[in-house]
Amino acid sequence: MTAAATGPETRRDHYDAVIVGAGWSGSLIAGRLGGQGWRVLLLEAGEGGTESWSGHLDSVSTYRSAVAKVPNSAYRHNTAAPSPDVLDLSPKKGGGYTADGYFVQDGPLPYRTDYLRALGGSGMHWLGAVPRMHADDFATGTTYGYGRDWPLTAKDLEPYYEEAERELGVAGDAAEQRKLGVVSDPDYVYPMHAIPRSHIDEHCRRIDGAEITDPMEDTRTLHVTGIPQARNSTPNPAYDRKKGYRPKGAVGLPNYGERCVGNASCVPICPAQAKSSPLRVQADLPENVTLLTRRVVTRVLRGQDTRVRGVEYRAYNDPASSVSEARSVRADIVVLAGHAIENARLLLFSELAKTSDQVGRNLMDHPTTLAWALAERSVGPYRGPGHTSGWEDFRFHGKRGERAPFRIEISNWGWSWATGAPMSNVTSALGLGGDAGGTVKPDGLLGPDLRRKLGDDIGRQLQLQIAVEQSANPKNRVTIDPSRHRDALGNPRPILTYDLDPHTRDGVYAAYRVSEKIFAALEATPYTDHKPVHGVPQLGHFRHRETDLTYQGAGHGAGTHIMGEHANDSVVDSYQRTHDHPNLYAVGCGSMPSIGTSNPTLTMSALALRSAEQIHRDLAALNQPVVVRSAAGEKEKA
Amino acid sequence: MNPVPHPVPGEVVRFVDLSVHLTGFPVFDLHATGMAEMYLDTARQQVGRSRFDEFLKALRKACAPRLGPAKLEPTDREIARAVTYLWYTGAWPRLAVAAHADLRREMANREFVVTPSAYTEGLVWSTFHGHPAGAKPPGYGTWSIEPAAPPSLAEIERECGLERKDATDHPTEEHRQDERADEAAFAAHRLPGPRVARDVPPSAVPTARAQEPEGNPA
Amino acid sequence: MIFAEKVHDAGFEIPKTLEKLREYLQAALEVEHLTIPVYMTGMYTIRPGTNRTAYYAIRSVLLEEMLHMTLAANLLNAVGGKPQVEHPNFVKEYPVKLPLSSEKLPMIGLRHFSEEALRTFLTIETPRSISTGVREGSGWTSIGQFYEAIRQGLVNLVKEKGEHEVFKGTPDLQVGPEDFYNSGGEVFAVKDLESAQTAIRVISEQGEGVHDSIWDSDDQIFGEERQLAHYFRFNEIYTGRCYSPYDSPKRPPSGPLVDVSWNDAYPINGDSKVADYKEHQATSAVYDKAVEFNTVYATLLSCLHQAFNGQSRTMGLAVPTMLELRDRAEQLYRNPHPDPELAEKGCFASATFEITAKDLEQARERVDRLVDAAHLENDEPIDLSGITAESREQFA
Repeated sequence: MTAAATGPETRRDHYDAVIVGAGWSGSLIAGRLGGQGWRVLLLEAGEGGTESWSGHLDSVSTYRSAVAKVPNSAYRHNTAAPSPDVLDLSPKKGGGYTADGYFVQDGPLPYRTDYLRALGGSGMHWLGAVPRMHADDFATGTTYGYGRDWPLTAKDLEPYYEEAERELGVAGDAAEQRKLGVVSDPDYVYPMHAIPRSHIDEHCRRIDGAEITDPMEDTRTLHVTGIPQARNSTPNPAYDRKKGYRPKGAVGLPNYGERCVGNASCVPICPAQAKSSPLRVQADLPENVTLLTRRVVTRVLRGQDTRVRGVEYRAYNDPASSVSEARSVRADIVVLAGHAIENARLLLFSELAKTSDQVGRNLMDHPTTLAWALAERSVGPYRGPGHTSGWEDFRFHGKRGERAPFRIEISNWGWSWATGAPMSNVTSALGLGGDAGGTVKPDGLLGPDLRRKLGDDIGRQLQLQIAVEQSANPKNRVTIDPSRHRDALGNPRPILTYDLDPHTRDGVYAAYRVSEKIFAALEATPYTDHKPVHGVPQLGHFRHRETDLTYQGAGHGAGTHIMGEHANDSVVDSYQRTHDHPNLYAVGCGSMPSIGTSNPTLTMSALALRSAEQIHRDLAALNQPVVVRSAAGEKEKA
Repeated sequence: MNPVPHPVPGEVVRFVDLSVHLTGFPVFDLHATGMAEMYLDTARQQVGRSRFDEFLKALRKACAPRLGPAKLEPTDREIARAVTYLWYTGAWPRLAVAAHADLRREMANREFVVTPSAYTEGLVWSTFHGHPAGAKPPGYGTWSIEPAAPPSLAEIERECGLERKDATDHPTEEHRQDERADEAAFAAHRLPGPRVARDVPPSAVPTARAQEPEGNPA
Repeated sequence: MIFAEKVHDAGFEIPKTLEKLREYLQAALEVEHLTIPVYMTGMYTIRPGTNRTAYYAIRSVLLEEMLHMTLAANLLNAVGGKPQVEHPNFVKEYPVKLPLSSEKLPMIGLRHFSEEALRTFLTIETPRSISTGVREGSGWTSIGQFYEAIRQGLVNLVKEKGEHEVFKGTPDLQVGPEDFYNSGGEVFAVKDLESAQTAIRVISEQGEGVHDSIWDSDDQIFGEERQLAHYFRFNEIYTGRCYSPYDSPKRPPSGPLVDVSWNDAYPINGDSKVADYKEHQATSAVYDKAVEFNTVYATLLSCLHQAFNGQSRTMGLAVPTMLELRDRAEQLYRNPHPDPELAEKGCFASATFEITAKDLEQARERVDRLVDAAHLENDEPIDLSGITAESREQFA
């Protein structure tokens, strides 16, 4: 790897490809193109440092000392390249919300998803859940009459899914995924054995076979199903026609990066680095790839005709200040690989890919509703990865057209997301913090009573995180207003307008009702509570079908430059190449016309690997008939 | 170059002894956090040195024969809770506004984690067979194992040396059943409820509301 | 120790029979193990959040010693031997004389993180390039020399008998990378002279460096970043200075300073025994906790024994047991010594690493119970879901 945060500036002013953003997509494409001998410049807006062991330990300490252990809590604040944070949002007493961070928000409901602008991107704080999308997810418009169809099928993506599973290092049970219908190759096995299921999964498996009917009269039979994860487990000797798989280790500390040891903090950071991250891909980048951090791309530069000629960026040294210097670099191919919202922001400010008027539109997430309960007996929460299984039964087919489908994650981390447990259990059991009027509470527990009470209560916590599909809606969008809303470097801040449409709201509502029935079947006491607290509506609150509901952000920002067959209604083609500009790619979740109920990183990575092949073909065509020197030797490309 | 010997100061030993009554964890477990001295310093700094000494005096009195919140004046009671919260989580909490005002504290009434290592030494995790999230990992696949049952009240009391030996002080079985019934009535009030936003610190989370029969809270 | 002292007493020679070779490999297993309590004590006596560089340096060596122990077991199994770990004589009482090394070396004791501890570490890891050479028949000079003798012996025996006659162990007994990877390197099966020589190379070069250099050979063998060999990693901590890339083994490091703070450790009396703690049982829980620690340590040995004798998946229990020992050790070191006089002087309690035959017997029963409950089978995914934790510390 040639990265250096403050190292030498680029040695050349022209590259075969310049890639904007060193997260999963950017790193994977850089790796592929680099391996084929192309000269690649990979620009990261955020800070590096985490690729060293001391930098990694610093992130672990930052996380440990944070009061609110949210996804960005392990990573330092950066003024030059600010990240949105879930802590930026607060509810208002009479309803509504305020947004005090990087995003400007003016929609009816808040967009509750964050991302990270740092080396590795949101691939640093992600959970590592990597389900494939189902064939049913790719054509909801045609089949169910809602959302947008893909110009690709699950079959088209299958080989790239397999490649992505190798690159990310996935542990999973292929037989189970075949049963679910997302893996079709009868001989496929994952690189590593599935991550062991939690004791909570086992507890939930007691109701396998139970029939649950949702409010749309859609009846499903429950089956606890494991989730494939990009996390080191036991390598499967049967992988790749018995060639096996060698797990990748930690970055920055030699000979380390053992299998998952159960730190139970995947989001925001895996201290053992058993969870996969883009830093692993970066560690293997060849010499002909230059990776520079602290380079905030400001615009894509227009070239002749419809082509682009490179990018303009600002380089800074001190992430705490706005001091920076403008530079530019030329390239045959420009690849935008920032977050969906960052890609949209760049395209809008560069005034590119405007034909369809879809840039910035169709912003999506997985609105996630939480449900929590106490089991009858101890189930062992706060152990293992965030979740190891779910109920996948409401994801596909049936009355999907009437209510958005949903995926029910079985949390291994108790009530932490919903209530701030287990710390908040201590608060409540002690009677700490006073009553609403600020008076010291009279009752509460101390000593042996306290310890016994907490052991009993916390050990029985069950939480479901139900991610609901949100389909493409052009009204949910990112815009910019450079004259009014700029960040410290002078770059336009994203302005978000967001809402949940009735189909999605029905999905959230159905999910809530299903959670009640699941808890009843489990004989667990529900504590789910979406009502206003002391007169303040909870953030993400809405009423639907006479019921109080709330949703959280899933961190699955998508849409904004969706793909399609036609230039008049989509931004990129199936290779994530803009219809308007033959040498400008916009890659990532922004390209997805729909995201089903699958955590999107795997699909995004599969798309990136597919795009890398096309970029290679484009570059080869551009360089015809010249014989190009490859990194490995004098090899002709084509 | 020889390191300076640093025996555990007497005041720290005494603080640990008293903390057994607050936390329900034995002396060994409290020393085992390696945080005793830092917690004493933190509490003194937050409350004021002389005020904290007064609190310790009141606490010592209230511990015999058995500590309960009603045996402390409101501000002392809130300090007792804050010190317990510190042992359990590694963080100093937000105090009841009345106690904060009574103490005339010059710092903001805000929750903070004392140090990264304090977080990983929180006692709360071991009440339920857990480990701090992001530290002290127990090993591959251990999350599949059925946890050991949490210790009973009697076991905890024995471990802490807080058995009620005195016959007059020892509650009858009937009395104990009454206690259990009281506890059940308060159960909902002693569980955390939802946070209105992610930025609500754990020490400011409201308690859960009582449940309606059909499961939707009133 | 079962064979290590015997091999030591016989003096420097190259094993000439298969039987002798097996004794040597069992001795190797014992010597690798001997370092583990020493390094654990040095590492876990560091005060939380301090001396990070030192902590991770010791940790990396500790992981590599476990790798070496496993590779030594693979070597022994490959040549038809039977690794003995679960044996009352396997663990010696500390302080102990380091076998297969120079007679002049001081005793190896359990010491808290301190200059004295680092001197002990350096003693253990002294490379041949620093110690003086000797002829056959005289005493041992270094552990590296011992491994070289094993390698020579193997080569000679293969020449004499043929590879098949030497490597006649059951292949199923090998612990492979599925059960141990990215922890100081990767375990691999030993099946022939080539893999055996690689295993020996890993062990001796991670320990003392490649030829006359300060570096190990992880880059060549595992495709990993090369690291300083153990002796030099420790010397950086001891001298408080990093090596520069071109430093040579015989000179002190010339690079930038390392942040080492000897004050940030819990001083212990490393020679304390549980019998000493028993006297204070009425006033301190340290006795009970130290006894429990030793019971869990016996469990670790029992797990390793089974892993090296056909049940390689038992590694899946060894690692969680090791992690339980980590927590228990730290808890002991943070408690004042139960003897008030010693506590007054700033002395803390410590893990004693004493194992009795009875401990091992109980450990064996415990591990059998766990293996049965979990239905651990080689080649199957690890699934511990059948187990119920027996204490609040176990698997937590």
